[in-house]
Amino acid sequence: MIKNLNYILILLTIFILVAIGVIFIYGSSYSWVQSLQFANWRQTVTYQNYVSDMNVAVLPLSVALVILLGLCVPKRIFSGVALLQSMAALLVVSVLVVLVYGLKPGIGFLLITAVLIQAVVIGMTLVGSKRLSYEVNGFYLQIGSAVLHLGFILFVFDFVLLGESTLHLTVYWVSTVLISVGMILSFYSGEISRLAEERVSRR
Amino acid sequence: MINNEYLLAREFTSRIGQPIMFLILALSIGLAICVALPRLRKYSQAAAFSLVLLMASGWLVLIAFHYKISTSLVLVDPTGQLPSGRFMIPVWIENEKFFFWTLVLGVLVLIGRRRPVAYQSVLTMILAVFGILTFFTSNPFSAPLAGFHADLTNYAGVLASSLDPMVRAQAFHSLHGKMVGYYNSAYMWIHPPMLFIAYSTFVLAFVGNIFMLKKEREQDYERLAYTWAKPGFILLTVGLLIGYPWAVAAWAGEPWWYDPKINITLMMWLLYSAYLHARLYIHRRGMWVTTAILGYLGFLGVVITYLTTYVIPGIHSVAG
Repeated sequence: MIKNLNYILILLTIFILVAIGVIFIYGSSYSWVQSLQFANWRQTVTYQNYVSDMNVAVLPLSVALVILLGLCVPKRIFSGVALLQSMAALLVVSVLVVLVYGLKPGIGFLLITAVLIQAVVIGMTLVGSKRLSYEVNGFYLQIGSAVLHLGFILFVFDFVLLGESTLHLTVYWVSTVLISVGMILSFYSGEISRLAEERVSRR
Repeated sequence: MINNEYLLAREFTSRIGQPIMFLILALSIGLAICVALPRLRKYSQAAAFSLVLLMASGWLVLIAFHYKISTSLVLVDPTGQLPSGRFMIPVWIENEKFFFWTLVLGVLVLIGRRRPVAYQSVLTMILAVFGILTFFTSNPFSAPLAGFHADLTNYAGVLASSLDPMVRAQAFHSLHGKMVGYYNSAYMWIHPPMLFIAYSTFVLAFVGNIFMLKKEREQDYERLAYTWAKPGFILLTVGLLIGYPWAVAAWAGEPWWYDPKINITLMMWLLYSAYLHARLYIHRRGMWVTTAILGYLGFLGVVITYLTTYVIPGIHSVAG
């Protein structure tokens, strides 16, 4: 089970991503049908209902994705039974926060915890800690993956908790930069590593 | 505001560009024949190179036209409250979009090294189809910047037909708003080219995915698909992220949540994201085919996203 945990998390992620995609196809088809029947349908109650229905359909899957994203973070630091325990603890506390304070604070708690753990992971990766476990090898790939996930967590956090705040766009741009840098480092780690080695050897 | 200099430049662009488009059509058909007939396949590289060269020269003509627009047209506020402005229109709007996509695809087809012959043949055939489609569906020279020209004509019509200062000011503000928020927007210079370059790289990834389904465990095709999906995904993600702040500002007060084009674009992003996740475990049972199918569906998303703009009405569409 623990051996296959990463694989199971990836399969779940794929399933959720595709499922949200299917909902979006339905949404577009519905919009199309409505716009064929009534050109100004976006100014009607039907559009308001459509947005509400889409929110209802997308929300559970988005929450599941956030939970998966949150659960994926401790796997860098913990392994074996400790990983399962830390994941379960994070999930249970988040559910408790949801029950006591509501959905937004619950997801917010999960995301803040994930951001903090991810920041620790990045710090440990930077100093070359041997305690971290990655599915992939290579410094740039690992740091890229960590920065990319931090960017995504921050992105979701921004929309969940700061949507109406004046900080919304600032945090949005920070997450955009992290996602962009993370993707470049992850996808081109080999090339970046070679370039870095060449520069070092030239000195 | 519409002056002879602009009208002459528009006519000149069409007169120079139309023969180029006919040559593009002829070369595209020739390229398709070269790829289809093994006897002529040795000429396909030269034909593809000529096609790209021709498209690049066509694009230069368009750049010259856009430059002429920026120097010849001045939008003046009839009330004198706002400073006069010039149009700085990027070279990938209206029918130029697909032309740009085809041009980028052509460059990517040419720059390939050590690709499997079958892969390169399918890719070159797709380029030929793109060339033919450009002629029949997105010819930017038959009526250069038709939408922009219609905006100018409407504005000039109001100025000519009405002396009412309110009506004139309203018409000015409508065109000025479009100039600032759309035609001259910095976002229009960044967001569309990022997405169209991404779409072009996804074509290359898609061909790799097709061969992945045909030839199980052929690492070359998987590597090719991944090599080209990577830059596409980066450009797509960053392009979409850049789009959000613009949408918030430009569509303030308008209903745009779950707009059909935005839905489909997000679906495409989700599918490519799923593809990249699946690829991490590609050597597990069933994951090779799953990865290939996800990549395949992602590209189907690219096609649907592009078509949605013209088919399904919405805030991000030209349909309806």
